Amino acid sequence: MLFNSYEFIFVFLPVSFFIYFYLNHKRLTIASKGWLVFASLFFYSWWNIVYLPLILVSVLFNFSIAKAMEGFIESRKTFLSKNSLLKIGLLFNIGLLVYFKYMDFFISNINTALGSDIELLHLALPLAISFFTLQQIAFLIDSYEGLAKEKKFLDYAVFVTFFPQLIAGPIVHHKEMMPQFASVKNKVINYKNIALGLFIFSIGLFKKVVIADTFAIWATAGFDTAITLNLFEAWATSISYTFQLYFDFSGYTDMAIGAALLFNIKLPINFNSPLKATGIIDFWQRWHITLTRFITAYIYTPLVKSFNNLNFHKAMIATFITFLIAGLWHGASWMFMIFGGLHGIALVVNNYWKKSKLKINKILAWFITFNFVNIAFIFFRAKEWDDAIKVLKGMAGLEEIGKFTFFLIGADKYDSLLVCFIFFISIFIVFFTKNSIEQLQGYRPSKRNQALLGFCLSFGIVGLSRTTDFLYFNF
Amino acid sequence: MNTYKKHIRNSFIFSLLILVIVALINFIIDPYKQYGLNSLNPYFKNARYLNPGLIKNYNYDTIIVGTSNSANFLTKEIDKALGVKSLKVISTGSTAFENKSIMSLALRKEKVKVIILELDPLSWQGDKKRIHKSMTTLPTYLYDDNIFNDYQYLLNFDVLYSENISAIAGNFFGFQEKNTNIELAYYWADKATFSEENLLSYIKNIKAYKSPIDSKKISNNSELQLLKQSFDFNTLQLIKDYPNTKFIIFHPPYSILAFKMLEAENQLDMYLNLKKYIYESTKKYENVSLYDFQIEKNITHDLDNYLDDRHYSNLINNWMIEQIEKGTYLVNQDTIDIYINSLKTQVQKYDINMFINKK
Repeated sequence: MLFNSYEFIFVFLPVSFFIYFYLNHKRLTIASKGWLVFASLFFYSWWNIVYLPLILVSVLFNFSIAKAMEGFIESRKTFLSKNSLLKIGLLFNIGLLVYFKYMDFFISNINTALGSDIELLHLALPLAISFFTLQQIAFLIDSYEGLAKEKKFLDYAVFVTFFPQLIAGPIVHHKEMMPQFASVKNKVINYKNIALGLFIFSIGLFKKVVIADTFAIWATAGFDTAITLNLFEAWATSISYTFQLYFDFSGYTDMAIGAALLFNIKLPINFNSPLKATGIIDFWQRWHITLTRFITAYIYTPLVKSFNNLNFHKAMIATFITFLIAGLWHGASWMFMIFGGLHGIALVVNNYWKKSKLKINKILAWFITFNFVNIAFIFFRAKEWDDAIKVLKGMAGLEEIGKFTFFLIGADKYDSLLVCFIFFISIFIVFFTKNSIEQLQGYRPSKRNQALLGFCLSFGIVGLSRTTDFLYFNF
Repeated sequence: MNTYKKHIRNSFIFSLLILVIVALINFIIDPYKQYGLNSLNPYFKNARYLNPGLIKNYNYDTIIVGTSNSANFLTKEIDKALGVKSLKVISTGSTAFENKSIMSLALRKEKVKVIILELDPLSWQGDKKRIHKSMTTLPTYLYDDNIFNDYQYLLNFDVLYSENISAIAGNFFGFQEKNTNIELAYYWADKATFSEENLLSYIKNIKAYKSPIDSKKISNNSELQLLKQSFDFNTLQLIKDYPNTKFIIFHPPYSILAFKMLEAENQLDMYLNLKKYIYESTKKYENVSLYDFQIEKNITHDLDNYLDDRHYSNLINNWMIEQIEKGTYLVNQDTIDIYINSLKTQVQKYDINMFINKK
């Protein structure tokens, strides 16, 4: 189920909310947790029930491993060391991810390299597998190091499946979630949290269905439909996509944070005005923050620790490798590898620059960062190398400078006018206003917030239904 | 009352107010003509959304169903030739299921006496309920009479913005007036050039096309089965169910190059078999007249009639209406085999190098 759907907003969210607090009100706290897990699994299965067993097995297995590691010290079992238990756990999670997400990618590369003809598996990627796997890997490592401890299976199941963060993060830590679920104070309806939750949910919904989906019109036209792009079209395409992705993903995160707040749960911040970043290091501290936190703690740090006589250069190699992996985590294709690789290189350059203590004008720094991010996202969006090259060639002015055809595709001109309008609004929002998280700090039940909430919620609902029909008036 | 509780309540009231206003605006302007309460002309753009409203609230006794190839029919020509009141409800790249959806709605409304249906072989490909790849779902809320699902129309962002603006700009400010003119609904021939030049690249495609593998021949049989199943489900069933409605169905005159391409792809025999099947399965129904315009060499071999290998000019649409009026090119027991064999021979005999050498 998507957050931006009628069934979620009008049925699932209200029903799960009221039953949860009703059970808590009756002091049936175990039942209320059970309800939350049930609701979350229902939410998950709405998409495709076939993969329900997968998430169940994953949760059960990881919990057992953690339990076994915990029990290890007490009972001094000898046939498996704590370390090998961790390795089994990691192997299981990574194996799951590799099998479902990367197998066809590997096979097709082997086929290309060796000229073989091994058949592809054509598995549908199980929803959210990238997210719940990461979250549980973090949990296993934390358990191994004694930083996380979970007694009850139900609590663990709530931690993994809690629906606001299940599908697309934020990627949460056990230690930041469990005290919140345990707190008695959080089991009572809190109107302030509901107001805040509805506010940020509405903003997120608006960002997703009104802003991001409007930018998608140009991004799709440029990336998927056009055969060549001239200078203006190519820049319009790539910047539209950067804005689309930012509003889409941060909007989705806002909805997650909002939905969780209704249940008195505070999810970690995931976006902090990333397009204002004045460096690539700065960018990754603002973009998908919980992913950066994860890869730093669980990929970069172990990698660095594994080096003998660590020095700055070696740390830079680790940074680059970490981002190659992070790139591939986004999806099984060379395009994502390139995306990760580009960011890896940029981070290394940024680090050396920092070390050299050279100064640079803030606006210039922002300009370089934004353009780099914008160009790297071309590889994030392009399905094939040729699509990426098409856009890059246009941006470099290598194609004939012709008319700006996005306005000329038949009756599409009204859509294009809307994109322009949203463009100006977005530039204002992105660069000159407080972001949604900053809006929450010091939130007052003021008329202004009331109007903003009502406006975003209503237009978010109107945006749930859009018309998609294809046009080719070009013949 | 708790200030936050009041804050939430007021926010909800405010957003409900906006929703009501939006719904009212969409209801009054009604760009998809679902309620027929105003006389604004619709803006002919999103056919899959607009056509059901036209069916519900316009006057007609004849409808034209098909793809972009039927967009250049002029209803007044059809009305004059056949003595009917026709309405064009085509959609670009329409699939058989989409055609069925709009025909079913028209048949349920009981206003339609004649359906003119273009037989596009591509429309039956794939799953029998396939919709066009640009669509996530067909907007079924517009195709039924259930008012409770109309919220998807009344609270629709694109209806509120671009559809309403298009309709108002077209009706009151004369922007792209042509697109709000029902005579010209979905017409595109004025924007296109029809000439031999266009087809050069298709020639290259045919020449470059390597007939893939022999296994294609084996799979042809099951592919044909699927096409037949889709034809039965989406087309034949309606013919059976509505014996009092006349179905004028026709094979459109694609250029000879389109058939050359089929030949190169090893699909020509399959297509001819399908054509045979269409005749055999419809011949016993008296409410069907089947026309086959594909054998007319004067049309299909004159490449100045075409935009690309499949899209012919508006003159050909007019020509077809004349033929339907006269009853020429009718497929019957006497002509079926002649038509099929003649097309096959034409394709075999046509030498694409001749075309290249001429250039």
